[in-house]
Amino acid sequence: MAFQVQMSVLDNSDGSAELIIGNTKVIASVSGPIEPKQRQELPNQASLEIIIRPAKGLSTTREKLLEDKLRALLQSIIIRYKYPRQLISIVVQFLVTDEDPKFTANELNAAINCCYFALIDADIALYSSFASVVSCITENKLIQNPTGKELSQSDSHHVVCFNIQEGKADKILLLESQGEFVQEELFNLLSESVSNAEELHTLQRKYLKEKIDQDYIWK
Amino acid sequence: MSRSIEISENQRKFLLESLKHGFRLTDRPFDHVRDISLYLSPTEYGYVEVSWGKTKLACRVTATVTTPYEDRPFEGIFTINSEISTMASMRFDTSRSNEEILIARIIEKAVRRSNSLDLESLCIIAGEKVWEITVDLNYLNYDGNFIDVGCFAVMLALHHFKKPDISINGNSIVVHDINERQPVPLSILHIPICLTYSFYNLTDKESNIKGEDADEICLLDADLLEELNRDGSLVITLNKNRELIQLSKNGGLPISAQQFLELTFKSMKTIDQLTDLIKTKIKEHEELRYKTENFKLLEASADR
Repeated sequence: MAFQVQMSVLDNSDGSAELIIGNTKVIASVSGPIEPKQRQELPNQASLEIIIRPAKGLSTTREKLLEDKLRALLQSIIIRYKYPRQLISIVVQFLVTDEDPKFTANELNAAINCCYFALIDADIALYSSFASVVSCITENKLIQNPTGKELSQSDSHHVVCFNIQEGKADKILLLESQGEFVQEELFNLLSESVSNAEELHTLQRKYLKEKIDQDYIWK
Repeated sequence: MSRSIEISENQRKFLLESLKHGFRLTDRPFDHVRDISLYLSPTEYGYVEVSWGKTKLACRVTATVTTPYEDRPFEGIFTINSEISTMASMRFDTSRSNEEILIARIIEKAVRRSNSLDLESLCIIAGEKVWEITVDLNYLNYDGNFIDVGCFAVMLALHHFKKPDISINGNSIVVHDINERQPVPLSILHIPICLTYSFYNLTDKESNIKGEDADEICLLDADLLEELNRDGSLVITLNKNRELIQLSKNGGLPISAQQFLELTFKSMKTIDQLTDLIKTKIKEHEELRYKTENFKLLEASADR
């Protein structure tokens, strides 16, 4: 799946990335580790503040749901014990979206992949890399990276995020499925997604390498 | 918790000293705006990204059909959502600060209350169905002057936007897909442009208050460093027809009426430039779209 990414696009945050994946455009900023509010402070690890802002209108319960899903994922991937009593604040702003508001798959997928670049740009310690792919099943046919229209015609849709170690997809960090499907279909989809995630990761590495080469151009 | 930006005494003195000698740190004349770069979405209507220097924001216009307010049955609804997240700067936080409210209100006054969008043209069936136009301003990066950039972005997005065509059969309406029928642009009555001037008093405060010598310096389109060190500011909203729409001066350094008139007069040059920029950009974009989407093939009228 081709995507375009630009890192360090915002000056006022520690890390940021702008990602165009499919027809979705999203920008994420990471500030941290910084001083938390007293009620956010955790004695032995960093707390996460995740804010998702929609492309249209004000944020609703839909964005809160996305925030929770993203938090669950990032909590397990950021080495939070490295930053005790600190806060890592992540803002995800959708700019262009391509799905009916009743779906969240494409947006969740874009947010996860964008956060990956923003977190790396902010130099936040991670246990491993991660890559997320989205797919849908329409009449027993598997469609990878569906458009908003394909999504609305599908029987079920799935977002899968793997952690990547040594270039290989290792564990499933997140699996969001909606619609009607059977176990066999899901397993088939997961095995298909592995290669897609790995492919996505080689692209991620390519962009990161370019970025780091640029950053250390004076060396 | 909002985190204020701290500026060292050295930095502050350096800025003021250079202003005294007639230079801005960015090597820009006092009455010039920063370089403007614009992105207009080539695929959808009503999405633009605007940056003035490092200040960057995205603006989106959407239209939906709703019922009008009971006391205004002939008018459409127009709202501007402007909420600044911590993405733009850690100064802005989830609770709305005074500064954020001020920015939102000034933009709202300039665009909505000045009646720049013709609300009556948004009426479909009086008292039953009207268009609701919503503008979402998303602030991405903060480097001063959100008011001017915000107002400019809203006007650009409103020009870029086209709402789907409708047809009315008795009491039911049909909203045509934009691929089925050419969408229609909004009817915009005038283009308000906000300009913010920042004032600096480089001599002593007392002589300024007495009005003995008015040698304060005024800068147009201040960046973050200049904005944090200013002694006062003034927002002037004007349009190309030389109509004064809004004046907003919230305390700060007093300025003389004479200087104020001069500023308003001088502003017209910039207003004309910015208005033309909006118009030429939109025109260029329309022509580009006409070509790329092969609208010529869809035209029914014969060439004469």
